Amino acid sequence: MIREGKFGFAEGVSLLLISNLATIYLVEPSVAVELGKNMAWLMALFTMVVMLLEYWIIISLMKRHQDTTIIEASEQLLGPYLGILCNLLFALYFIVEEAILIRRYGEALLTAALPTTPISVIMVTLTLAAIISCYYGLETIARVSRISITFIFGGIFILFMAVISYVDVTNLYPLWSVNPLKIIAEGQYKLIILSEGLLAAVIFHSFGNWHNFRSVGLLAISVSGIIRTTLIILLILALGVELASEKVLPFFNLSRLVSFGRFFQRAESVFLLTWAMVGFLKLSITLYASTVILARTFRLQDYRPLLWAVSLLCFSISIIPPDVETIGTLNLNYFTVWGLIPTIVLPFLLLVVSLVRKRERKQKHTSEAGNQ
Amino acid sequence: MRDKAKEVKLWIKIVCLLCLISTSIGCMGARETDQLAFVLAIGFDKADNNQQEVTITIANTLAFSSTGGSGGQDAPSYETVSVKAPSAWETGSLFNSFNSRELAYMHTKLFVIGEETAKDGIEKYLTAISRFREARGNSSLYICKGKAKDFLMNNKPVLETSPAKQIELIENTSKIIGYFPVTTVNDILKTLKNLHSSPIAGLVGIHKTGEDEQVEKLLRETTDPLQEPYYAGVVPRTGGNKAEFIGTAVFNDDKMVGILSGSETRTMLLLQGDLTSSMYNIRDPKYDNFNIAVNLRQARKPEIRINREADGVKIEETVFLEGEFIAIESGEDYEGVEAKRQLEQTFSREVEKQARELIAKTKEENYGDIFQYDRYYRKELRTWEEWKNLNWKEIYDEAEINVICKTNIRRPGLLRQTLPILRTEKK
Repeated sequence: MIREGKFGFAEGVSLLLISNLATIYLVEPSVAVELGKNMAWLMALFTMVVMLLEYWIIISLMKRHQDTTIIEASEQLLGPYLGILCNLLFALYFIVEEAILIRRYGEALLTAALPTTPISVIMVTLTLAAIISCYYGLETIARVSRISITFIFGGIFILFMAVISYVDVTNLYPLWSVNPLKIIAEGQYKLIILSEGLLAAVIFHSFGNWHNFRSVGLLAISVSGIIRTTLIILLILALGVELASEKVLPFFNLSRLVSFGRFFQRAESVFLLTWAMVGFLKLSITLYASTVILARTFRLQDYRPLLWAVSLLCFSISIIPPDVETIGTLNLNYFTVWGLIPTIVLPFLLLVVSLVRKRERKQKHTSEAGNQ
Repeated sequence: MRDKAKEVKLWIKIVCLLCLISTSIGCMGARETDQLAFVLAIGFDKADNNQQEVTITIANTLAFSSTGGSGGQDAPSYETVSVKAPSAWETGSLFNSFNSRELAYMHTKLFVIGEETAKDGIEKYLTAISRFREARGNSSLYICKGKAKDFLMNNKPVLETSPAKQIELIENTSKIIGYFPVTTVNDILKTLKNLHSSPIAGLVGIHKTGEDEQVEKLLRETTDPLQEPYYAGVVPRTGGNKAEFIGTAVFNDDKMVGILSGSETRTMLLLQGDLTSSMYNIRDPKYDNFNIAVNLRQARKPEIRINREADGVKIEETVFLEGEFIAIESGEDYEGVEAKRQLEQTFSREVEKQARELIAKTKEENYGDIFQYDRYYRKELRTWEEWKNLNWKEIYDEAEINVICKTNIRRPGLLRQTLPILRTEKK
């Protein structure tokens, strides 16, 4: 029996929020601006709505299986073979996500702050930090998230306030310039992937009850969506569409604009701390999810023995791509597309099976009652 | 057995502590300040035979760190050197063939591009600066009338020890006089990449005594005190630092195509809505040989209306100025309500005339829109494609642009009226 511990509402929101915010520090906001042009803010809002719907699917599924996590639920619904296959897909998703994130965060830290440090050293540090966090358990990660969220929010708020002086409202025009359907067809699907739904369903018991699980997820996704939309609006207003689309680390670029008078300049290292915090926590949460899924699938008593093996696997995968461009292409063109299967398609299928089973059971009960 | 376990734990702790200590001494890229040469300014020039010449001004930290005694304080606070190479980026390596310290660009405050280089295009420099981690997009970028090397070599700030501080402080004066725009790498890139209008950059230059004839010519031609026809390098003066900051370089795409004088720059900033304040001098409407000086600031952002009509685009801009009297040489009582109103109207008409002349110049000289009217025109458009494919230069050249100036001289200074001197009154 894996003991995950329990945490409160604030810890839950912090955990899922930090996990969902991790990509705003990487290239994603630039990609959003490139796809949506000056209407990328609308795209971000739409992404938030889609993510809420995705979470709603998971909520509906878990409502029907409140005694188990999604791992046990999938085996109950699909049977032992298909259920295990489904769970392995969930684990594979988190393993690949962890591998991609280790590399992307490693490259981001190297580009922004540590240009002469070998990438392997940064990646080993990130992986070790994730292993140590996971070793202490989910409860510890959640509590650290709760403490960190104050600083992360502080950093984001100060940055947003500080770049207001660079805002040019005319950058938003022409309004309604891009056909929303075209944006959705061409690239929206690259941004809607939501791993937090699956993550929350894996650690379902830690939320205490289904109501908490529902509120925590919806709040975390909404707040994260608002922050992402604000960031994209500020990127468009402060840098303009073309310039914002060029950036590798748009959040870092915005922080380089911050200056108050002659003395308070070059403050990006302060903001770097907040995104390093988010990166470390996101990697810990993802590693935890992948090992716990495997431990539950194989009915192990503890997930800790798997930590070394899974992290070594993630590290090995992450070191394969030869450069930043390759990892970026892998992420945007493959992971975000194929990742929709375990995050949306499978939970939705499980929900459909659950509904069908329920109806069958009902019909069976009715016919049995009729026979009697 | 228990003692053995304790001993093992102790050794584990010691090993962990040693690992921690060895990894906490700093990251692999750590560089001490005494290992670095901080580049304060960089100049790019075109040299003969397809070569590039890069000039850098390096801070001499020795001059700042010494507390007395021999050496330090007597040393110059900065050093300027230049190197030629086939590529501007290769020069960075050549600098270290004679420089003991690694060049660090994180404190680079100023980028200067020579006139000839700017005429060939500056995009390659801008994108390289914005790509490079150490360089900052909010560093200033100016175009030098002449060679950037001459500017950096001859720039000897008299009142400041560091050229970086000199740049910061002189940029503050732009807010007081408005004779040159403060332009950063980001500003120019934003216009170049996001807009259809023409980018501009501040103009700098070295005062040349050999060009006195040109100065004399400008002095002879200038009869209107509102006109300031000077640009960097030809300001009529004696003494002081040879470096001058006045005027604007105008670009078509990324290629420099012309320059604006001090007063034209002021008008451009006024129409852009970026003029903080400036001292205006006009001829006294009642006395030809007397002038009136007023210190005016932009009261609020200009109101710009753009109408797309059958016969073309009509742009109507209203600018608002307010301020106070500095000098009324004639002694005429302009402080009175009616006289002041008439003076304000005369002044407004003069500013409108200057604006008309500048707009006409941009069209005649093929400069394009230096006022960024396309930022407002994009509100009229419906699709991104329409904006991307907009032929703004043609629209601007054919547009009817009308500038209205509204001036309010709110305060008379410390005198509420000007009374004639007693002897004059008796006569």
